[in-house]
Amino acid sequence: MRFEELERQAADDLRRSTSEVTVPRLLAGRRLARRRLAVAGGAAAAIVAAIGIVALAGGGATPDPAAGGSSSTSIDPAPTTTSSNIAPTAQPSIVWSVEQPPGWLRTDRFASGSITVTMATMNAEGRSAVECSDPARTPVAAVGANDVVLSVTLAEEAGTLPVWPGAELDPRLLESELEPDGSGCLGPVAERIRVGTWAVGGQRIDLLAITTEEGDTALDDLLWETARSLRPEPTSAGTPGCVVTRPTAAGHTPPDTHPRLPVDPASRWYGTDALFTPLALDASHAPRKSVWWSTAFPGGGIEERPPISVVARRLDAEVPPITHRGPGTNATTPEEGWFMLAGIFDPEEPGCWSVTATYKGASLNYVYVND
Amino acid sequence: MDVPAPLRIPEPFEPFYRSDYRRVVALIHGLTGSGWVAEDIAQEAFLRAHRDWGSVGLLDSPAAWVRRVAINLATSRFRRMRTEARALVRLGREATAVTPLAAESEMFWDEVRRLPRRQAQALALRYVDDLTTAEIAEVLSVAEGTVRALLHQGRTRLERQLVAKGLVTP
Repeated sequence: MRFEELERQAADDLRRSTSEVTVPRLLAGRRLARRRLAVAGGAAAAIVAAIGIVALAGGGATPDPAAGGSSSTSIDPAPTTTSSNIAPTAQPSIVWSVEQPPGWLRTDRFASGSITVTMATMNAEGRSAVECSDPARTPVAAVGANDVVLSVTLAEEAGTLPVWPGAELDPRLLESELEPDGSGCLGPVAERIRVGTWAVGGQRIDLLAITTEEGDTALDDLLWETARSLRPEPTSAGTPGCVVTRPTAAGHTPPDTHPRLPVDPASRWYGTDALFTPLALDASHAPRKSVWWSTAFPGGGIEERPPISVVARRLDAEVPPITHRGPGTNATTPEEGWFMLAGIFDPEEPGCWSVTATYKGASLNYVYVND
Repeated sequence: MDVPAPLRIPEPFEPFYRSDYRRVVALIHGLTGSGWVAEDIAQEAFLRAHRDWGSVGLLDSPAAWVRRVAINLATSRFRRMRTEARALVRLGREATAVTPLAAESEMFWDEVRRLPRRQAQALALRYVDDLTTAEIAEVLSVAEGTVRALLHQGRTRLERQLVAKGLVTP
């Protein structure tokens, strides 16, 4: 085949590849209430802060930090992004209150049940506390160009627990110049990342840090995403005898031909070189597409339809197993290399599920609870 | 007396979104090799366009703006990692509808992704969207002469790579 011919074929093929893609409904329902926030005595005289309020319960009152006191509102945690393939999750209602204590830009509190999350944000005057030796690097947890989240705490009725230094910091943060108090510096990237997940009082929350110059919208998104991540901690209640699978802290280490860690920092590889898959360290397995790696899999260019079979059996009830007899398909990403996809998803039906995959004589099994 | 400038009103967002969404997914699919990452990034790019439509909609080419944002998102290593992790979880609820490519096309795009980043982006914009040199220059925020060089160097190098792999005849 001539080069020009392959050019045309590959371009046509790529365009056709999206012909079945559904254009998701975008932004049906998200409203942002913007409010100018006066900073008392701050170096930045006036910072536009965005306070994201989605589907306000109880009349739609917007917290007004500029008033110098405090205000609060109940939030129905509807998804902020309403793309059709983002399913809303059941979450408790959250009360979000904002205060402006002297010397601080703002303090946001998210209360849900017995748990309260406090995020204290200081303006530019407080930034000296997290100066970076390399000026090209950005202080961790900097919110916008002038703001720094300096203190975050999780509290429950029994007392207050400091969030950082935490147990499971995002390894990408650990690769940076992280100090023992949790402050530190990242490279010159504009990126929101997850610092870690903390669980207390039967609930868990994803704490997000941001290193960006995006400004007010980033602050809004950060606070809201943190708030809406409040959710009940997964348990195996109702499924007695279900022993879920957890990877070891280090996880399986595949050979150098494969990525050392999965892309999700809260996961580790589980399995052997012959067959492995990412599992959450805390066993909080979210049903997902069936994805598998193997050193015996030569890549989609050579083995387009790998002979992988997967069966999911419910251990706590008599229901027919869900079986994919193969072959599967394949995919690749720059960080994960080639991997196999079986033609099924983990079952979303509640219960204790055992998933077993078989590929070229190797088998791997994991058990998870979907509650 | 000063005559006030005529008030400009952006075109509606929805038709633009519906007409360009799949093309942006295809563009990012070509640049990342992942259908679900492409969908996620395209959604993020259009989300931003919608959020700032009051100004983006007044640009000469909102299409160039949204492609630039999508390409930048695909370039960010951190972003891509986070997107992939999130997409893996999200796939548990709905699969990507991006159809796998034929083997030869997949290998072709593999080789495109091995090119220097700017060359790969310029070629993808030409192949997927059939953009002119001037339009590619606007998306990539570079001069037209630079685009011509990127396209020429990229195609030459790509052909060499494909010949070396035995996919095309010299």
